[in-house]
Amino acid sequence: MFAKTGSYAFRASIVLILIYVLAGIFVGPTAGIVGAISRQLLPVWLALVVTFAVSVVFKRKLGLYGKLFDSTVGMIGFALVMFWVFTGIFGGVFDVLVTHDSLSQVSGMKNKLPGTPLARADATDYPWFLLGGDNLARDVFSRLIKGSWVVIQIAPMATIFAFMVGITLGLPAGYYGGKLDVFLSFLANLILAFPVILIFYLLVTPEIVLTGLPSYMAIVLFIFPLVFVAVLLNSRYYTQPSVRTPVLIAVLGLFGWLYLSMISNDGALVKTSTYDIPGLPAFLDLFDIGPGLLVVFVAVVFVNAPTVFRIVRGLALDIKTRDYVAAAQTRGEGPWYIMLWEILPNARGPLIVDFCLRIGYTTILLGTLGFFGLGLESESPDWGTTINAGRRLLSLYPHAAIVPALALLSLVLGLNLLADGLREESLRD
Amino acid sequence: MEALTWTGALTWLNPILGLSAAIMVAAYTAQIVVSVMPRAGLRSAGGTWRAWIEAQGECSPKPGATLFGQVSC
Repeated sequence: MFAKTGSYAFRASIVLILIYVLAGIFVGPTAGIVGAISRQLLPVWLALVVTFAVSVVFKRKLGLYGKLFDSTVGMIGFALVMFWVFTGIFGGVFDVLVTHDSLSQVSGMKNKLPGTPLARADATDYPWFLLGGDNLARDVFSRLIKGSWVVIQIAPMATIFAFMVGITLGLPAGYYGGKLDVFLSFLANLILAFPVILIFYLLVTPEIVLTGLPSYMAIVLFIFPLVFVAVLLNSRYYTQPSVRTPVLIAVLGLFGWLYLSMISNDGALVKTSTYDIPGLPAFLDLFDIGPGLLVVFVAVVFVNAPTVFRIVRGLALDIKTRDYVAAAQTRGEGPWYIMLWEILPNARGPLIVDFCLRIGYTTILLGTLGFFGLGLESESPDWGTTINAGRRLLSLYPHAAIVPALALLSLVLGLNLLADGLREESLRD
Repeated sequence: MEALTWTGALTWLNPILGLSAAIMVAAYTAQIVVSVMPRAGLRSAGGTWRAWIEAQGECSPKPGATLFGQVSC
């Protein structure tokens, strides 16, 4: 009886929330702050509806992703995650959701409550600070949107890099075993045994940054995707040199260029008072990662990679005893072919689930880094930094800290639910 | 320009949402509480469902004798 009542009440609450959102799209600020935000987020709602409609229609052809739409928990998680992904993309790339510049200070809007009208608004200005103003008179809503782009960019990318490192080292450790396994596992345990926050503090300490350590770490850690792709393609096309060579040249050329662009800053790989190692010339450098962002990125990859390593190693230890691996060995396949084309695809289920969970952990780590003021600039709109800035006046003006905290909570909750849904569906096979 | 309230013209919906949310929380809490209460007549006998069923003397399931999660004898 209670379960049914709870279920009906849950559905009623969802329908009511949808009414707020839909009414807001049509009447805008007449439906209050919720309505105004809902109208502002119209592109996000449209993108979500299209994504869900297409995914549900073709779910039987979409493998594990399609099966996600058979799980209510998975769908809720996916909706939450995609909400922030679309918010980040529309707000960060296309600049369409924000109502004000996230870095501009507006006179008279310091610590203003949500829904406060602008004191001296021009005709072109959005007339309200929808979620109020922070302690530097900046729009909390716009900072929230811009901050989502920072999080959406860094967390998945750092997780992908951590997975590349973990897979590239974990597979041989599990497959070969012996001294290689002992050595790599020891290294992983060494890093895991070190307090994470202390590593972060050490990496961002100016004295350590001056030694160029983060740049050296970036040079080592960022090469793993390159190694992974090279080994993956080489092992696949080893018996077809006419295909392998051009494919390897093209892919490695592209990845090598991206790698050099990533680790080169102002034409140098490492630039300290004593060393200056030249890097990619400026005209070939595709993009520069700011020194603060590089430190954050390196720290997150460095901390996450050993955990991924242990998971992959454990899976490889288990899967290498299976019959299909023995069959591949009997066929005369090379060890890397077996690791990357026999073991890895069969370990994908737990790895996909862990990937989703790990993006959540990385998001929390980024929040923690921002909160401690490590890495990113103090004016960065990322959620951790914003929470840190807002907490100083928490008892008087809680909105500046609560809004990004709720955003962080909802994204991580969504990632965890998504991982649960994926786990549930992958276990049904 | 007027300051915005949270729900503007939809303020009349707030009590309904509040009530619905309160019922949901109360129902799920009650469900959790009821689920941890001991059922009348249920006795512990060895700590497992199999031991308990065998103790009733009505049914002695063979190992693995389950069908869709239910005991088949």
